[in-house]
Amino acid sequence: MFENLRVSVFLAARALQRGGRGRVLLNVIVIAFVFTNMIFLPSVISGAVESYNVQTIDFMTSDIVIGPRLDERYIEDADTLLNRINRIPGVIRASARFSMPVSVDFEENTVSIEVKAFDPRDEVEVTRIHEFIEDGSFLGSGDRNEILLGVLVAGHEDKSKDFYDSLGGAAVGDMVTVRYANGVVREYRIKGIVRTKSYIADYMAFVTADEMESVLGPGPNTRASEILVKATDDTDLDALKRTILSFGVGEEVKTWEDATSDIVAESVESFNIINNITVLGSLIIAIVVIFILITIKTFTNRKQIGILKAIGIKKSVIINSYVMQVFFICTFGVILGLVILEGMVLYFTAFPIEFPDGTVTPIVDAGMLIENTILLFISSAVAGFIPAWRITNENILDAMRGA
Amino acid sequence: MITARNVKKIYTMGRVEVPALNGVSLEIETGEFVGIMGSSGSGKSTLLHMLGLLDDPTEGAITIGGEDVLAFSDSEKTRYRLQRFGFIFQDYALVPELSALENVILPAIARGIHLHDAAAAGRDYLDRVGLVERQDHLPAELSGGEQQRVAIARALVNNPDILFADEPCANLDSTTVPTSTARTRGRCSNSSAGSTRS
Ligand SMILES: Nc1ncnc2c1ncn2[C@@H]1O[C@H](COP(=O)(O)OP(=O)(O)O)[C@@H](O)[C@H]1O
Ligand SMILES: [Mg+2]
Repeated sequence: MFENLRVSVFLAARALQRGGRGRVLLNVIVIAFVFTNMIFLPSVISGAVESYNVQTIDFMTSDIVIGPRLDERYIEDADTLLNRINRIPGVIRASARFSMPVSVDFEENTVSIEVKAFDPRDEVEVTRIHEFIEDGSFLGSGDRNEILLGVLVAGHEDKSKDFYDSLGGAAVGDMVTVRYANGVVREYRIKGIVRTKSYIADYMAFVTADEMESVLGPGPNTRASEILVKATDDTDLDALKRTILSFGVGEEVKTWEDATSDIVAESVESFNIINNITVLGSLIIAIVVIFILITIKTFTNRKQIGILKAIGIKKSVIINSYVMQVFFICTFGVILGLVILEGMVLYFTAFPIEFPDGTVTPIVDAGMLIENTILLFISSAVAGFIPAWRITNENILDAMRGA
Repeated sequence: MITARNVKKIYTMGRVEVPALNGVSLEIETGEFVGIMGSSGSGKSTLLHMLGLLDDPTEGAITIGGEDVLAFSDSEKTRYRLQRFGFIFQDYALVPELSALENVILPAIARGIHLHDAAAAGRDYLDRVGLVERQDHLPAELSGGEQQRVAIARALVNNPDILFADEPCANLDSTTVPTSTARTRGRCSNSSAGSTRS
C-alpha cells in the first residue's frame, strides 16, 4: 500500500517536473480562476445580504421593533412601555416613532410619502440616520417648524434623474408645505437632507415628536406606530424579545431578523440558487478542464503507460499517479485562487462595489471555502481518474506500440 | 522451467487474420539459456510477449515452474512480471519522463526497495553498461544503443528469475557488446529467453 503510493508519487512528481512546466502552470492558473469564480460571486451576494441587514438595523428596525397589536393602528400609552423597556438590562435605548401619510409640496411638485416623528434624543441612540446627513443637520429636540427630508424625496432639479416622484431639487433652507392625513397643513423649513443609500429610508421625511403632538392635538395618551429598541452588542435579541413579550404587552415584538426575514429570506433563497448555479458552472469548467488535460496527457503517454504496465507497475499505481498530478494542480490552483480572492476582497474592501442601494464588500466565509475546495478536489479527482483508467485498461502491447 | 504447448497467436486486423505463431511448443530448463533465431516477422517477439505474459495466446498453454500462468488474473500477471521477469524490449521501451537512472530503478522501487538502496543498485548496473555518467539524462538525450543499455540495466536491476531479451544487442556496437553480454549471458543474435531459477 505504502510502496504503491510511493511509486505513484514518484511517477507523478517526475511527470510534473518533465511533462511541460508551462502546461502545469497554465492548468494551475485555470483552476485558480475556477476557484475564484466559485467563491467570488457568492461572497458578493453574502456581502449584499449583510449590507442589507446592516441597513435594516441602522435605519429601519434597530435591533428590535415593536408594532401595534394586530387589529390596532397604534401602540397605546407608548411612554409607559418605553419606560419599562428602557429599564431592561442590555437595552441601550428605546425610541417611539409615529408615522403619518402626508403630501409634501414644493414649488409645483408634490410627493406622497410617510412622515415619521421621533424624539431626536432617543432616535440618535437607536438608529444611525443622524450620521448620514448629506446637507444641513439632524433634528434637535425642540425643533417645531423644521423637517428632515430623505434625499430621494428632495430629488434633483432635473426630475428625469429621479427614480421616484420628488420635490425637484428641494434643498436645505427651502420651505415646504406638508399636508397631513388628518387635514392639518404645516409649513416647514428643510433642516437637513438624509442620504443613507437605503431606498426606503431615503424616501421618508422626519419631524420631531413634539411637532407631531401638536399636529395630532391633545389625546388620551402618547401613541406610537412603532418602538425601536437598541440593545448592547452582547445581548441575545431573542431573549430580549421574550422579556418584552413577558410584559404581556400583546404588541408585535420582532427582532430585526424576524422583521426582515420574509423579504430577505426570499431574496437569499434566489441568491442561493444563483450561487449554486455559479458553483455548478465552475465545477463543470473544472471537470472539463481536468478531463481534457488528463485525456491529452494519458493519450500522449499511452506508450509510457504500456511500458509501465509491461515492467510490472500496477494499473492502480499508474492511475493514482495521474490523480496525484490533478491534486497537485488543484492544490496550487486553490492556493493561487485564495491569493487572488484575498486580493479581490482587499480591493473591494478599499473600494466597495457601488450597488444602487448601498455599498457592498464581499464576505468570504470559511465554511464556503472549505466546502468548495472539497467539491473542486472531488470533481477533479473523478475527472482525472476516468481518462487515466480508460488508457490503463488498454492492451499492453497495443499501448506500447502507440505513440 | 518454462513450457509452451502448441502456442498460437493470430492477430486480426479487421477482416485480415495475421498468424504470428503457429503452434509453438518448447521447454526451457532452469538455468538454461535459449536463443531463438528466425527471420524478421517470423514471430520471435510475439513468442517472447506470450511467454512474458504481456499478451494472451490465441491458443495453447504456457506453464512456468509448473504453474498455469495463463490462468492468472491481470493483476497477478502484473505482479509476476515485476517480481520474476526482466524484459529487454526490441524498442528499448524506456519511460520518456524518467532519467536513465530513474528508469533503471523504477522496477526496484515498485518492489518496495528503498529509494536510496535502489539508486545505489541502479548506479551499479548503469556502471556495468558503461552509462553511469549519463544517469541523469532523459532517454531522448541518449542514442539508440545507449537507450538499449539502459534497458538492459533496468531488466537486470531486480535480479530476475527469468530474463527475456528481444534482440538486445541489435543497436550495440562491437565494444559494448562484450560488457553487456557478460550480464545477459547470451549471444547477441536474435531473441532469447534465459531462465535462471524457474
Ligand atoms: N499487433 C499486431 N497486429 C498485427 N500483426 C502483428 C502484430 N504484432 C505482430 N504482428 C505480425 O506478426 C508477425 C510476427 O511479428 P514479430 O513477432 O514482431 O516478428 P519478429 O520479432 O520475429 O520480427 C509479423 O508478420 C507481424 O507483422
Ligand atoms: Mg521482433
